[in-house]
Amino acid sequence: MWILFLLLQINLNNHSEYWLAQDSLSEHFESYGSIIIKHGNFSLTTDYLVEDNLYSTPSKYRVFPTLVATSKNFELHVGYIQKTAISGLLLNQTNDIQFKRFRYFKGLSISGEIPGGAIYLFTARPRDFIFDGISYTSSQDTEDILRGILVSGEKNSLHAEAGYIRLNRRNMPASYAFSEIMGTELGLDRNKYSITLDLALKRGVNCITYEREKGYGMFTTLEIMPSSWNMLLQFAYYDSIDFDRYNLPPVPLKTEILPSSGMRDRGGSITFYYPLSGGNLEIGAGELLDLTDNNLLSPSSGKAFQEAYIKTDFYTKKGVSISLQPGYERRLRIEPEYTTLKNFYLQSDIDLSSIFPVEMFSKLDKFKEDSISYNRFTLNTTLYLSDKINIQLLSEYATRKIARYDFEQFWPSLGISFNIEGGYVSIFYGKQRGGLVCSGGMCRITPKFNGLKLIFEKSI
Amino acid sequence: MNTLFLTILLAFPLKKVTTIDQKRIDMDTIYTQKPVYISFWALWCSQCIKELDKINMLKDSLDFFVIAINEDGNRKKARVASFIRGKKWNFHVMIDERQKYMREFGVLALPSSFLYNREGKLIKKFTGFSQSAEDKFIKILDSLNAHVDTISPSTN
Repeated sequence: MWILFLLLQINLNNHSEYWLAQDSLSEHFESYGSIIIKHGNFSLTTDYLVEDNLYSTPSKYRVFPTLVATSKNFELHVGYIQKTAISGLLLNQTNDIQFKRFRYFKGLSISGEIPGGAIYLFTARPRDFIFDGISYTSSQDTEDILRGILVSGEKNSLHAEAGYIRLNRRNMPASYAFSEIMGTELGLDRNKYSITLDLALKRGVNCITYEREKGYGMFTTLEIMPSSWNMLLQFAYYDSIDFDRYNLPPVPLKTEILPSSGMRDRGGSITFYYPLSGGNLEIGAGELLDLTDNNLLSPSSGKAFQEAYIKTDFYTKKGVSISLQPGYERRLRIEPEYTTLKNFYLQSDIDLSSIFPVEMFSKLDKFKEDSISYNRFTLNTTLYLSDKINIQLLSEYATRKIARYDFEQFWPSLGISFNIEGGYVSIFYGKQRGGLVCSGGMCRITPKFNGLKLIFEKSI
Repeated sequence: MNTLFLTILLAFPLKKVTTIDQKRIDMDTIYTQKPVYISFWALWCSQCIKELDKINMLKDSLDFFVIAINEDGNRKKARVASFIRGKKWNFHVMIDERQKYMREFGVLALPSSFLYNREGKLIKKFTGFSQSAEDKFIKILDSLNAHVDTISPSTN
């Protein structure tokens, strides 16, 4: 038994946070991570999530175990599985650590090699846990069953992927309530250019009205890459292609906002990369608007987003890293408080650490929210005391009191981080403004915070 | 028995990898030749990109192998590919589609990077790449390469 234990490879990863709000003295504790035990061709991975706060009574303890058996050509997963298909247009059940979004399927999957390609089969129930800024909520804890097949293959410079997924609704009053989505990805990679086309079709029965529902989605990418520079063109057309949140259509914008979440979005972007001596230049522009709108200049009623920026990164002879980015954003009805929000900004990131152990990030935002104009200035300074300790001074100041920020104008905070073996410990004290945060096409409003945060991360 | 135990416990986590430009690399043949630096990054992580810019510059003067594992997922594969071509990074990048490698390396926040020696043993984990961390990295790498030069001068 002892010998067997010695032959196991065990990894433990943990991230824990403790928050204490200054005004209400309310507490929040969360801890997530994974334990991996490996032996030969088998591994048992158990992700876990623990939460204890005022808003999640009783405390939440969730474990997501997965047993993986691997052979030369096949892999079997039993338990909690994750998968993305056709660039997320068909399926997207994966974690997003930036957004604290834990998305799983509970079931089994088999993947393996077939002549000329690969195959993936799964049958599972969705299980999602998403942090809403206060507590983790289970957004897909249903008895719905998804089953699907995905095949992919490549030959020379061509690659192709195709898939079919059916969602049977077990909780709905009518057994015939279902949705199915099918799609394909075709790609061609050559020396000077590459093209990818993603297509998807959705069919089904609406689980509330029992009407037939259908959707269509297309995402295409063209990259042109002569020897010195390269240019990326992306275009999306999404008409009701949302697959009950089990998919997440790709976003062609750098700012990851998909205004209508795949219901009525169309638009595209162009991004240009050019190398400079000791650095590089990136220029981008794009927009996503409602299918019913003609253009952003004459909006009707839908949500829309527009962006344009120029970013340059370079190093001086003394090794100082400088990044400058002027840009423009325009949002239509993205948040309920305004119709139009225009934002001109200039941000800079200067890393002086080659001559002095300091790094500074600053951003000047010039906002116009319908008829209200105001500026916001952000300054974050990091002082590296050693390779183990750094101090961060963070501050934001707005020239006008805005209702959705509780009429506050100044948000200062102080942080200290200690690098420890295999991880770090951070302590933050102060105010955080909160507001709209977007990642991977989904947005959420994060609440403001004033108080103490302790963060501990460690891998063994 | 002890040797067997250590071999299993310290097994190098990457085996065969496929890079974003569809190159297949057998890591078992790589880590025995050079120290390996594995860095986890995403397009939204400006600290990670800054670190990889520095690594790209250091790679010209120091002898080590780099794999940058991207955590943006398959949804942003085209944007990631275009971004790295624009950066002219001189190392391999791969997409961690299901965050498999993130779990195996115990990464819960970015940036996180790992330096392995020629025996596949983890020498140091970096969470950020300040000047002092960079100095430490160069010092460790020098000692790893010097150690090999001493025992096997013909390795280069």
